[in-house]
Order: sequence, then structure tokens, then C-alpha cells
Amino acid sequence: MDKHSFLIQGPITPDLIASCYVRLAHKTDAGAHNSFAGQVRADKMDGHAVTAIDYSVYEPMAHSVFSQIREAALQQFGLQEVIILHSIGKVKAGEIGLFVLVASKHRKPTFDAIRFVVEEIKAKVPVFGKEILSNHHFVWKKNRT
Amino acid sequence: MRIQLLYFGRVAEVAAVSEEYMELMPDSTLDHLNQQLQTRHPGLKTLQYHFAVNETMAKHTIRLKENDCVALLPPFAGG
Repeated sequence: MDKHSFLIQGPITPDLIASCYVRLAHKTDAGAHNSFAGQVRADKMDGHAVTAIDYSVYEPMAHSVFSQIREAALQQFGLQEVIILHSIGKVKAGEIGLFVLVASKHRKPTFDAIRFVVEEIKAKVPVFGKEILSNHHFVWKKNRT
Repeated sequence: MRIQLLYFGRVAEVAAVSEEYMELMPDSTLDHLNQQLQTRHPGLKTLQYHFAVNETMAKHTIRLKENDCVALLPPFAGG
């Protein structure tokens, strides 16, 4: 996996998440890791549950916005590393579609940095999601502010 | 002048196109473009969307240039 690739086809698997922690093992100046995982929720709409979200993305713009968010977090919180992975394509209910991992010398900046990175992603990255329902209809997802 | 248009998510679905080109008068603003787009694809009038010009979010008052790439972006749904 390229160090600065942010988009993953399909769900972010437990193996992929484990590999992110492995990437931090050589950052021996870091003493704290913190992470966030966004899971697809089986919301009910008119009695039909969401079975998956099909994500699409404006890829070149998403890449540059992810990079800007990562750079801003590294500088603002004095972090050792920020890893961001977002799914494209289909992610089923119960699977992970966003994973953020930050590493810092000490624990405190990691809590603020995680919130910053996740909120920035939700607000600024051009990702679009089609929620697929159990009756095969779909609804376009919109982030809450 | 010629500009490239990219459509995403619900906007692409309603316009039934993901990419096309359009000829505009020189010095046209994004607002002029939007009016022409809503004539070409009337379904857009019912939708919420923002514009990015050359991969940066842009206001309706900006003037477009030859070969600009304009993306129509429905509400974001990342995470």
C-alpha cells in the first residue's frame, strides 16, 4: 500500500487496519496512537434496512483534500503520523468505510487530532454515498453537520 | 470557450451524464454556466449541489476560463 494513498476499493478489513499499526512500529518517537473507524449502519428507512453503502468519489480532488487535511493535522497537533483510509465501492452494513489513525509523542493531542481529521473529512472530501436498502431501492446519503 | 463538466452522485444520476463539454461565451461566470446547465438538464433545479473549478470549491461569481474543469458536487457523504 502506497504511504499516501487514501482510497481503498471495498471495505477496510481488519487486516488492513492491522497493517496501519504495523506502519507505525518504526515511529519510535511516538508514544500514543489513537484511531477512529466509521462503520456502515443498518438504518431503517420506511421499514427497509440499509444493507450497504456504495461510495463514489471525485478522485483527484479527494486526493488533494485528504492530503491537505493530513498535512494540517500533522502541523497543527505536532503529530508523528496520520493515516487516512476511505472506501470506494460497496461496503456492507457492519463493515468499515473510514479508518483514521494518528500517532503522537503523548496522548493528549491524539484525541483532538482524531476529531479534527474526521470532521474535516466529513465536511470537505468529495465522497458520495448511495445507501442500498433491503428492497434494492436506494437513497443518497448526506452527512449530518 | 470550451469547458469540461463532471457530474457526481445524485447529480450524475438526474442529469444522466457523468462527463460532457460545453461552449460558453468568454468571461462567463459560474452563475451563467449554472443557468445554461439548468436549461440543458432541468432536473438539476430540484437538487442541492456545489461547484468545484479545477478541483477547488468555487463561488458562483467567479469567471471561467478556456479548458476549466467544472465539477457539480452533491452533498458530501464521506465517513
